[in-house]
Formats: sequence, C-alpha cells, structure tokens
Amino acid sequence: MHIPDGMVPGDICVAGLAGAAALTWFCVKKAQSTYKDTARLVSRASVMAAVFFVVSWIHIPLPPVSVHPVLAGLMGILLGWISFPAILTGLFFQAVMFGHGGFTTIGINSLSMGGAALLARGLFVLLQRKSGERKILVAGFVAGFAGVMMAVVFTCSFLILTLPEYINTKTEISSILGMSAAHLPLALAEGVFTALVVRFILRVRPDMLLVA
Amino acid sequence: MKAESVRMIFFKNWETSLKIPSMFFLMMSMAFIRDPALMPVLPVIALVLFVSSGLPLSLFLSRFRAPVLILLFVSVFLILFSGEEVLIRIGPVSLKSVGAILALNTCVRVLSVITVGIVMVNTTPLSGLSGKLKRMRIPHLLVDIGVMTGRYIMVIGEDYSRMKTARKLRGYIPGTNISRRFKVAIPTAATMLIRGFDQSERVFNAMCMRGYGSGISGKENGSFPIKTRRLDVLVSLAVVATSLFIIILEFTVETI
Repeated sequence: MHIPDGMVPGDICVAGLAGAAALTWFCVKKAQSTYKDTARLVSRASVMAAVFFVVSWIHIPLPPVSVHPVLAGLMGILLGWISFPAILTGLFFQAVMFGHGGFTTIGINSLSMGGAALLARGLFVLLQRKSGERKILVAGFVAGFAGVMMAVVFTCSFLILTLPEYINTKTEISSILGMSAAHLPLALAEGVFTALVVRFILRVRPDMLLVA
Repeated sequence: MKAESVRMIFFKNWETSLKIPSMFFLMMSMAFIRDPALMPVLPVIALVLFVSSGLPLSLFLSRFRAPVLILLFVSVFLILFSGEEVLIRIGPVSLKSVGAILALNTCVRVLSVITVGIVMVNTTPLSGLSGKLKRMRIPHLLVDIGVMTGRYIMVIGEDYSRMKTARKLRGYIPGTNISRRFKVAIPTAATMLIRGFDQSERVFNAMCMRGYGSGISGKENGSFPIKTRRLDVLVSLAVVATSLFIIILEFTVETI
C-alpha cells in the first residue's frame, strides 16, 4: 500500500515532501507541549516506532491469505501527535530495509499513513469520551477500521489522480472506490485487531491510553 | 572481482553529504520525466550508476519484489482505461495503444528511479551517518528518532524472536484456526507495546543521564568532519548536471 519511487510525477513528490515536512513540524510542536521534554519525545517516538515496525511482522489470518496489520489506527491511539514522525521514520526504514515505498515518495506515503493515523486518533477520542470497556472496544474498532480505509483512499487517490491524462474522471473515481472496497476485509480484520489490543492495554496498563 | 571492489570502494568513499543530495536530486528529476522520447535516457543513467557501483545483481532483483504488484496494477489500469485508440481487442477487453505507451513509460521510470535509490542506500556507510545528516541540515530531532528507531528495531526484533521460540517450546502450533491465531496475536502485540512503552521510559532516563539536549551531545557531531575530495565534488557535479540536463530536455522537448 506504499507508492514506490517514480510512480507519481516529480511535482507531486515535491508537494508531498513539503506537506510532510509541514505536518511533521506541526505535530512535533504539538507533542512538545504534551511531553515538555524533547528527550522524552525522542525516546517515546523512536522506541514505539520500532515496536510498531516489529508488530507489523505479526500476521493476521484472513482466509485464504494471511496479512500483516497496517497499525495506522493503533499508532494514532497510542502515540497521538508523535504518530506522524514515528510513521515517517517507519516508512524510511521500510524503504531502506525491504524496498517498500520509496525515498522520493516518502512525503506522499507519510501523508497517507500518518494523516490516517491522526484522523483515526481523532475518531477514537471522539468515540471514547464516555468511559466503559464496550465504548473503548467500539472506538478501537472504528479507529482501526478507519485508519486502514483512510490510508487506502489517500494512497489510491494519490496514485490514480496523478496518473497521466487520457483517463476520464468517472473511471478514476470508480477505480478508487473499487480499490477501497477490495481492502474492506483487511480493514475489518484490522478493526478487530485494534479493538482487542486496546482492550488488553485498557485492562493491563490503562495509563498508556491517556499519555498521548 | 578486483575491479568490482575498487568501484564499490569509490562509491562507499564518496562523501555522504555530497552523494545523498546529488543522487536524491537525480531521483527527483527522473520522476519529472514524462516524455516518451526521453524514456530511454533514464535506464541508461541508472544502469551506468548501478554497474559503476559494483553492487550484486541479486540485490537489485530482491528490491524489485515489493513494487512489482503496484506496478502491475497501474500498468493494467493504464492499458485498459487510458485513451480511445484500440491496440488489440481480446474478447470484450480492448487494450489501448496510448495506455500501453504510458504503462511502458511508468515501468521504465519506476525501475530507473528505484535503481538509483538502491545504489544510494547500499553504498552509504552507516558509521557517522547521523552526524553527517545533521550537518546536511536535516532536523536533529528527526535524525535522533531515526537513529534510535534503527537501533531498537534490532533489539525489539530479537525480543519478538525470543517470544516466538518460547511459544514453540511450550507446544504452540499456529494451525489454521482463525480465532486461535487471533488469541495469540493480540496478547503478543499488546505485550510488545507495553514492554516498548516501559522501555521508552528507561531510554528517556538513560538519555537524561547522558546529558541529551544539554548541548554536550551536539558537540559529538564534530567527530564526523566532512572529508571532501576533488573527485567527490566532480562526480556530484556530474550527477547534478545530468539531472538538470534531463529536466531541461523534458521541458524543451515538450515545447517543440
């Protein structure tokens, strides 16, 4: 679900890098007011980015295949504002270590995934205002589900809408919708995964949900 | 074999603070190219760089596994929906000629840009990279997060391997039962997140003890001085000139 190098035009890549830089700056400023200390921000963002990177190696069974979790929603829930720089770092390592995504497209990819994480966080906060395990379970599911779906819609939109001309708008919109629909089972699995992980954390370490 | 090592040594010794910006600029300029007439230039540049770097072909092939699927999807999409003129009709499906050209262009551009990226990453030594990135005006905060993430991916990856081994030793067999696999995946992920959260607190304390943010660590960057050789400057200039040349050609050819 990451756009590789060379797939989108250079001007879009430049715009993506500028957008990602601006959003990173904004998120760091917001996070600094929460964490007060830069060292705490750096340690939390880096260690948790590494944990999320490794957790994404766990495969979720989704017959007939097995998929790895995207974790955009869960990152948004647990890391809040620092989820964006953490995702940016994760994408960089994915490009370096496995060739997923790319360097010129890292801005676009981080806007898709990081933007989805921030929006999922917003949804989670909105839905879990009233305490209670069931509410948090629902909020976790919605955040996990929405995290994947938003990331898919953003990525497909970047990919399809920046393709060369000669394709009519109707075809472009239907292909974005088609791609999004194809990811529905993955989004549902991710929603269940996120909800259950959030419930586990709520029972064992509820303070983790309050920090971000 | 000897010649290959010499080439690799040159690329590895190429000053990072010159190599990364010049090669990134080349990748960006390649991404700008849309004119089919210029497409053959891109793989030639990429091939020259790849052969000069002395990197093994197996590395090149292994890095192409990830983007192949998305490249295939975009190519099929372009061939089916781009333009009106039909190239071949296979039953109800008509393949478009404009789409075929665009798909070919996309494949050539993606392969070329990725090749330059492979050369850039795999010939850059990691030692002293963070100091050099900071000297290149990359925000210190992002460099620090990147360096520490790289370090902790290894540490947490090892933890995860130990958890899997312990699970196997206790008789766990994954099997095909979905709910059973979910029941294992959820606590594994959550435990790793909780451990990571606690570990980040310990890392924070260690950073404070070592004077992070007090300016002491900033002086350490001086231990990685930029060693600029004349050859490095010349090669970097050649790469930048090539990048500018293809961009100028792109706009000139378009206006003709």
